[in-house]
Amino acid sequence: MLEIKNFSKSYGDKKAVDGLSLTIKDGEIYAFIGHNGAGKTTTLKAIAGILPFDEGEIIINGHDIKKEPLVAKKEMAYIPDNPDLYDFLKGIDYINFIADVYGVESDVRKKRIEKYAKLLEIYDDLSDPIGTYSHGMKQKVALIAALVHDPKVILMDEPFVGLDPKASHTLKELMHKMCDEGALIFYSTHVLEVAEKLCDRVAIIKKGKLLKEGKMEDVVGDDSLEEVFLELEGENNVVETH
Amino acid sequence: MLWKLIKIRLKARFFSFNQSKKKKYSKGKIVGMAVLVLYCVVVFFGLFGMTFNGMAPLLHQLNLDWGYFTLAFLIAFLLSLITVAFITYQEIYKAKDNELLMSLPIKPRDILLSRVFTVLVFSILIEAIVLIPAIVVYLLNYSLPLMGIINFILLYIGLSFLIIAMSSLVSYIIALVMPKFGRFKNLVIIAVFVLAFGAYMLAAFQINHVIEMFIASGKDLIQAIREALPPLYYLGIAVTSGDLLGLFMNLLIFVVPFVIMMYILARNFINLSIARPKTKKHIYRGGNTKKDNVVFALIKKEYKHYTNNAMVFLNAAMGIIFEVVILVLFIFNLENLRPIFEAEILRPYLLALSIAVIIYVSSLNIMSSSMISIEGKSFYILRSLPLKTKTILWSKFLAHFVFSTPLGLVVSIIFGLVFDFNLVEFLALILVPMTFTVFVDLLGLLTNLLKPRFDWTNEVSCVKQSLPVAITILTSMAVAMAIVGIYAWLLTEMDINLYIAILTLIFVVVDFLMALALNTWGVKRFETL
Repeated sequence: MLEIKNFSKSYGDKKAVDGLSLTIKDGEIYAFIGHNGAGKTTTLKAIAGILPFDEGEIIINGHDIKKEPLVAKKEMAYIPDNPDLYDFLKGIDYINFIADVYGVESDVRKKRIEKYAKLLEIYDDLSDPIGTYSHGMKQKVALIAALVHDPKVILMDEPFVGLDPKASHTLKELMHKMCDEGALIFYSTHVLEVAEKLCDRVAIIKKGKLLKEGKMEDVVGDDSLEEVFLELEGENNVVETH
Repeated sequence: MLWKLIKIRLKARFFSFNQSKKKKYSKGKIVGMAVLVLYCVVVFFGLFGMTFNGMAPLLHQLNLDWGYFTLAFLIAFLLSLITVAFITYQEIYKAKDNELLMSLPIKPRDILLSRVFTVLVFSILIEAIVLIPAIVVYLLNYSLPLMGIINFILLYIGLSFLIIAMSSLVSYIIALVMPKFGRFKNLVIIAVFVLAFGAYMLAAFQINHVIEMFIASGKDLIQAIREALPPLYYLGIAVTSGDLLGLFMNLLIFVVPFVIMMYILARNFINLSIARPKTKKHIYRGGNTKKDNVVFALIKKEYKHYTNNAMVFLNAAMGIIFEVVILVLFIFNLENLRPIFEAEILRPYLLALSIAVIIYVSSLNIMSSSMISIEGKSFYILRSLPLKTKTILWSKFLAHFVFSTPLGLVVSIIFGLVFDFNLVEFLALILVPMTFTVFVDLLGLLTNLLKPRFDWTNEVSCVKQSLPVAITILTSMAVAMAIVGIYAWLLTEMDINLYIAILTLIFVVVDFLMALALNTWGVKRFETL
């Protein structure tokens, strides 16, 4: 379970996220949506332990990211919006590096790499340097590296950007499969149609404040997620939870 | 448009030293930078100044003042060509914004000229290291006609055009040939650089032979040069007597190749700058999934980063290049050097001199000073992984140490064997450079933690043009020189072995304090980056 309690983060005088509280349960796919600069990436980076934050708590499977960062990070995987990986490494070397850090045994990692790389159709290219990859290929390698240690909490920032249609489809299936096996996925996106079909729950954020959150069907109602989002974007809102 | 492009290039190359968000520099920072520049001027000008100070009276006595200037221009040409050739290659063919600029309504000719202008500025600066001490030393001892001084300035600027033409030719060949080397291109670049640098060092060692040759051959040699290579003779004469024929002859030689080369480059610029290396596709067949220890995996990552780009390696590990060149020159010149180190007067200082050479060379290995910054946009990876900050920092420390130590050790062992040191001397020869390597390593890491720079667009600039890199290399070089200087000028009465023992102790204490700082302040600092 991922618990975000009263989380706030400022950059100088500007409050990027203000008192955000969310709970994502095991097995859920949770969409995090908002306009550019709303605070989505800041929140994801804070959960991943990349950004220090001012107020609040972030608990990953019972471990506070501030107090027990190593144990909390062991449970997690983070895939950024722009996969700036180590261009000087080959795809396979990068995945091995991440697997080494997480202590994944050779035979286990071999099976997982083969499984995910073949699913995402990048297996043959793993001997090439990442510097020669396209954006989509980097995204695929970042995904494999994230999944190689079988994380229970998966954070994704705009995971579908740059992926070809087939890889997008595979990723959606993978996300469902991982959640069926007990993992939780918290991801940010601008592709509202996909989020509406894919996710169990959704949170809408504006200027660092939570506007609405809850089960997808409750938040959307008879409208589409796009309509709800656009309506909320145009209003001065208070938090609504379902 | 051309001027705007030039401004962008110059800003990227010369004014990106400190990426502070504050636009105004504090007084302290300005003074600090001024001291830094002054220090560089003193060190580099001092080195060549001493060489020219030895040459000038000898050649003047023989009425060969023109030879003095010809030699100065030749040295400037060689030094600048070696340095600028690789900068030209990076600037013209490897610039990250080539594709962006070519997609804009800008003439390729303007893109090319803006890059050439940057290289021109570099060339003028590097030539200055040789030519300014040459003219200053000469004018302090003798005199030149006003026209001679004007000619000197014109030839100095003119030489840059020849250097650019030659370096463009070299980089044109590199750009044509490199894609054919595929994955081995970095190795080839490093090998070419080592060879070129070795040749330069050999030429620099031979300069006394050249002067001896001048002295022995006298007027016959003058006549021979005048007949075989008249431009070289007239180059010197243009300065010593203000000869206009010499000036125009040489300016023509300097500028014509430049014009031809620019014409060729302008016609081929687009094709060459977007050429991709023809790497053979290797299909992954499984395997290579062996589990490694975390620290080993981190060190391996650093090693691959610094060896992946030849320019990054050459800038960060110049000491390794020097060590290779020194080893080769030492072994192949052993018989010539033997009378020097077997001289009775030198014997008591041989250990100190050997240590000084090794630590001076290892002060040029500065990987750690860019190891934080070089993470760049990928810095989030380390931050998101379940790694202790201490593990990350000490892995970086170890990566630098593992990089820099082996060749230094080989040099120590060879010096030790050739100079027939006893066991204690041998230990000192290994221990002092090691404690010094640790010092440079920790200094680099701490300064990089203090002033990291993640927003670079070209990793070569991160390794070459950042404040931590400058502070580390200049401090370590200053310490290396101070070690010799303090003994030579202040402590001549002290037993040399006692001095070495004290030195080792000081380094151990300083290293310990710096390690402590890395474990406390360094860890906190890393976590807030």
